[in-house]
Amino acid sequence: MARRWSRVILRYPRTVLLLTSLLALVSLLTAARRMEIRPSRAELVFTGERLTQLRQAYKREFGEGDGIVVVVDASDLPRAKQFVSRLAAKLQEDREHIAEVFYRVDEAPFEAHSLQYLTPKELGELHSKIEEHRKLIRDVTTTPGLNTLFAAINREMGRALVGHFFTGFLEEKDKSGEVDLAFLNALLRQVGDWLSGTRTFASPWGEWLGTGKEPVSEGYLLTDGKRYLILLAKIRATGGQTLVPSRESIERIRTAIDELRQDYPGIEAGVTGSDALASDEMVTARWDATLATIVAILGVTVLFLVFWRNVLTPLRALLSLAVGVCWTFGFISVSVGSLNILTAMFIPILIGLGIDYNVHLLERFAEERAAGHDPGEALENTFRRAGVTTATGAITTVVAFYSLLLTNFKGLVELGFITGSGLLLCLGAAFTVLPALLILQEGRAETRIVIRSTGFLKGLERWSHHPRIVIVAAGLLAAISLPTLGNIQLKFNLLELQAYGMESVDWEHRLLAEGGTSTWYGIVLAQSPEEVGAKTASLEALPSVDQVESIFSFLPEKPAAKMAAIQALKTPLGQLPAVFGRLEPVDLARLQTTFERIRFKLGNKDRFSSTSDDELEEARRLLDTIRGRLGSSNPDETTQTLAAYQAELFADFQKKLTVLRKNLESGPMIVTDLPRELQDRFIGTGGTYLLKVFPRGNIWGREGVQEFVSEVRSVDPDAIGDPISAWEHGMSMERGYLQGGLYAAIAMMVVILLSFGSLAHLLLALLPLVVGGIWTLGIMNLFQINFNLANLIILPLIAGYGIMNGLHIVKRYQQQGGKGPIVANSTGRAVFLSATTTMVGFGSLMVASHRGIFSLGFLLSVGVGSILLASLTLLPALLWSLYGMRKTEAVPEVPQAIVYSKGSWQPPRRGEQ
Amino acid sequence: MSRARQQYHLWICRVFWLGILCLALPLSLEAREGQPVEQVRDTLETALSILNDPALQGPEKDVARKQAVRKLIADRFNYPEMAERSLNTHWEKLTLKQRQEFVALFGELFERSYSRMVLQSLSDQQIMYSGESVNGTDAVVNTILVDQRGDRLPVDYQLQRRGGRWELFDVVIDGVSIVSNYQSQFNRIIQTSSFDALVKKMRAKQKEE
Repeated sequence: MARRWSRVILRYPRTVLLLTSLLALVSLLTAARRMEIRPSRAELVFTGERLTQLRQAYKREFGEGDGIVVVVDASDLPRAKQFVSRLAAKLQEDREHIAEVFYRVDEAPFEAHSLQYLTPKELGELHSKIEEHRKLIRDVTTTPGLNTLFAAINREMGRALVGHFFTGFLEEKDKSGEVDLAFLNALLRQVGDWLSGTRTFASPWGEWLGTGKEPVSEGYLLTDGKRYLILLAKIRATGGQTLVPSRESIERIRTAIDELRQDYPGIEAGVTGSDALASDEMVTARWDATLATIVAILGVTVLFLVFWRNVLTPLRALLSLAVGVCWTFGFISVSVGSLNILTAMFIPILIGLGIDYNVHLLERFAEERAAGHDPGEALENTFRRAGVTTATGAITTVVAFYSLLLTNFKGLVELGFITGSGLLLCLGAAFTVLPALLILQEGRAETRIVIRSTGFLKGLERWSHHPRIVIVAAGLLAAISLPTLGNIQLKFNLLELQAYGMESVDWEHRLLAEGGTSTWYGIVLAQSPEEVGAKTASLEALPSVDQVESIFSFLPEKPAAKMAAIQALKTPLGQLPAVFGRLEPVDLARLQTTFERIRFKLGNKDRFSSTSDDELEEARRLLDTIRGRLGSSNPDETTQTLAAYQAELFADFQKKLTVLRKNLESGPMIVTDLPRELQDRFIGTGGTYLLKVFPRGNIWGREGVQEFVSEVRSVDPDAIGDPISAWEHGMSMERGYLQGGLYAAIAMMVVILLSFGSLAHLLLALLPLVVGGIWTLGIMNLFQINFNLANLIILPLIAGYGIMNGLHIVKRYQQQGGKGPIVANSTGRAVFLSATTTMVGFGSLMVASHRGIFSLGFLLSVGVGSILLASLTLLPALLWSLYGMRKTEAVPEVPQAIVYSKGSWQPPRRGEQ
Repeated sequence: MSRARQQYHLWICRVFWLGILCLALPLSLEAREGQPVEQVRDTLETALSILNDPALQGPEKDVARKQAVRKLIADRFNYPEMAERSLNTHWEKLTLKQRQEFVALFGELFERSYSRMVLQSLSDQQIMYSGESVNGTDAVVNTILVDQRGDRLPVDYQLQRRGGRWELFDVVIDGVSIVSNYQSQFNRIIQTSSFDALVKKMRAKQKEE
C-alpha cells in the first residue's frame, strides 16, 4: 500500500497537486455559497430538547426578549430622565437597527389610582398631612405664588418652634418641632437652580403630599435602589453571516449615548444585557484571536525556521494543511451546513493537530533521505513507518472527536463531527499534497535538507538510562499534583471570562452591586391569575429569589381594603377651595423678608428636634445662596425668572391636587386599568401570564446559579430564562465532555490496542497523557486556573496530542525492535517540534484580554508541555526500564545536512520501477 | 374782699388741690410701675443679667440660673389670665378647684418652657424695641430679635394692666401666639379626650423634671 501510493505520488505529483488544489478551490466556493453562521447560543442545543421547546413556546407568546439594557446613572434624576427620554427618541428613529424601545410606562392610567399604592399607614399620614397643612394648602390654592408659599412655610416653622417649646408633650408621639425640611429644601434647590439659569422643573409636591410613590416613578424604569434608570431595547441583527450580527446595532446605541452625553456632561450611561454581553464577548474574542493568530504565525514561523533553517520546508507543511482546511470548509458546507460559536473553533484545532501530521512525515522523509535513500525509497519508507503511525494517531484522535457524537449536546456533537472529519481531511492532505510537494522539490534546483542537532534529545535520551531517577521524579510531581484534583472545578461564571473593563460587563457588575439586580432572571409562565398568585408566593419564599414580577406586581396591594381610608380624605380635601386662584406676582422684598425669618429659625438645631443635621445644613446653605443671588442680581430679571418657576410649580400643584381628587372617584385598580405596554409585556398573545423571577445576589457563579435553578424548578419544572439556559448548557457541556471523554478513551484504547497488538504498549502509549494530565492539573491549581466554558473545548486537543506522542514514540521503539535511540531520532524531533509549535501557537492566546481565551491558551500550553515532558522523559525511561536497550548496537549517526544538486534525481517515468 | 368771699376762694383751692391730688396719685403710681415697654425691657434685661451673671456661670450653676429665670418669669407673667385664655370656652365649665389646680399646673409648665426658650435664645441674640401700643388696659410691645448673622425676627409681647401693674400674658413669635398654640392643643385634647386627660398629661410632664 505504502509502495503503491508512493509510486503514484512519484509519477503524478503535478496531477495530484492539481486535483487536490482544484478540490480545495471547489470547497472554498461551496463554503462561500452555502455555509451559514449561526451565532445564537440556542444553536448549541437540539431543537427537540424540552428547554428549547419551552423557549420557543415563550417566544410565540411574548416575542424576543429585551437583549439590550441601557443603564443611566440617576444621581441627578431629573437630568437622567431627560437623557433617557432623548435617547429613546433618538433610538426609535433608527428603525433599521432598533426594533423596539421601552423606557417609560404611561403614567396616566396610574394617576387616578395612585393613592391605592400607598400603605394604610401612609394613607393615614397623608390624611394627617393634609389636615396639618390645611392652612398652607388653602393659602396656595387661593393665592398661588412663591410669596404665599414661603410665608406659609415660615408660619408653619414658627408654629413648630412654639409647639416644640410649649406643647410638644401633648402630642401622641412627640412631633413638635417637626419641620418638613425635605420639602423646603426641594423648593429651595429649584429656586436656586432657576436663579442660576438651570430651568429644569422637578415636582416637590408628590413626595410632600405622599403621592410620590407611583409604581414606576413617573413612569420611568428605576432600579430598586433608585440609582439607575433603565432603557430596554430589542435590536435587529444587520451583520448577516457573522458571529456578531447585532454588533452594528449595539454600536449605534453606544454612539447615540456618546452624542447625547455631550449635551449632558456628567451623566454616566452604558449598555449591557444579554445581547451586548454576548456581542462584546465575541468582538473581544475575535480581536484577541486575530492578535493571537498574528503572534502564533510569527512564533511558529520563527520556530520552523530555527528548526529547519529554510522557508520552503515549513511552507510545504503549511500548504498541505491549508488544503486540508479548505476541504474541511467544503465538507462542512455539504454536511452540517453551518458553524456556530462552538464549531467555529475547529480551525485552530485543525491547525494545531493537522500541522503535526505533516511535521511527522517531513521529519521522517528527511531522516530517510539523510540515511541515503533516494526520494522514492524515502517516501515509501516514510509512508510505511511514520505514515502508519501518523495515520493511527490521527485516526485515534478522530475517533476521540467522533465520540462526542454520542453526547446530547448539539454544540459538541457538531464540533466532534466537524473536527474529526477535518482531521481526516488534513491527514488526507498530508498524504497527498505534502509528498507531491516534496517530490516536486526534489526535481528542482538545489535542495537542502537540514537535520538539526538532536543534542537536546540526546540529553533526554541519556536521562532515560537512569530510569529510577526519572520515574521517581515524575511520580513525585504526580503525587504533589494529585491532591489538588479536588480544587479544580468547572466555573460557570461567564462574567469572569470576559475581559477586564468591558463596558457591558462593567455595567452588569454595577447593576449587581445595586443590590442583586441583574439583567439575568428566570421566567415562569402561568395560565391564570390564581396560578400567578400561587407561584409568586412559592417563588418569593425561596431563599435564592429576591422578587417576582408579574402584571399583578403593578397593581396596588388589597386596593379594596384601602378604599375607606381614601374616601376619608374627602373631608379635608372637601374643605379646600374648589377653584384655584390666580397666580400672584412675585414680590422680591417680601420674599427676602420671609427668607430672612426662615433663616433665623434655622439658626439653632435644638428648635427642630426631628430634623437631620444634613437637611438643616443644606437648608441654611441653599437659603444663604439664594439670598445672596436675590441681593445681587437684576430685580426685573429675577422677578421674571421666579415668575416662570412659580407658574410651573403651581400648575404642577394644581395637577397633583386634581389627581388627589380624582382618586376619590376611582374604584379599585384592576389589570385592564394598567397601561397597554405593560399588559403586552406580561400577558402573552394567548393569555399566558409571565412571571420574571429575579435572583437574590449574584448568580453568575456555579453555586449561585445551581441553587437558583434548582429552587425555581422546585416550583415550576418548566421554568426558562437566561440563568436556566446557562445552567443547562453548562451542565450539558460538562456532561458531554465527561461522556465524550469516556467514549473517546474507550475508542482510543481499542484503536491503539489494535495497532500495537500489545496491552503493555497500549498502557505505555497512554502514559504521557495520564501523567502529563495530572501534572497539568497541579500547575492549574498552582496558578489558580479552573476549567471554564471557554477552555473546556480544548481538552480533546490535549488528549489528541497525548495519544499522538505516546503512539509515535512507542511505535518507533516497536519498529526498531528495541534498537537505536528512543527519542533522539526523527520521531522525537517531530514530537518535540509539533508540541512546541502548538505551545507557541496556542500560547499566543495568552496575549488575549478575554480571560476565557487567556485560560484556554494557558491550559493548552501547559497541557501540551506537560505531556511533551512526560513523553520525552518518563516514557523512554519506562521503555528502558522495562525492556532495556541493546547497548551493543550503536545508534546510527545521520549527517547534519544533505545537499542535492539539480538533476541528481529525476522522478521515475511511467512504466519504470 | 369780704371774709365770706375769701373763704369761698380758699374752699375752691382746696377742692382743686384735692382734685389734683386724686389725679396725681394714680398717675404717680403708674409712673412708679413704668410703661409697658419698660416692663418688657426690664423683664428681658433682668433675664439677660441673670444669664450673664458671673456668679451663675458654669454647668454646676445650671439649677440656680434656671431657678432665677423662672422666678423672674413667674413674677412678670399673669398665669391665671394665660390659663383662662388657653382653655378658652372650656374655662367656664371648670369648678373653682379645677381652675386653681389648672392654673398652678399651667404656670409651672409655662415657667419651665419659657425659661428654656429664654435660656436658649437670649444669650446670643440682641433685642430691639420697635414700638408700643396701649389700648386701655391692654398693650403690645413690639421687639425684634437680631441674631449674630444680623437676621431679624419679630417678637411681640402682650401685656395687661392689673392692679396698676403691667403683666405679660402672651408672646407672639413671628405671628405665632404662644397662648393660641396652647389654645388649639388644649382644645384638641379636650375634644378628642377630656379635660382630665389633659390634666393627666400635664401632670406627667410636670413629674418629668
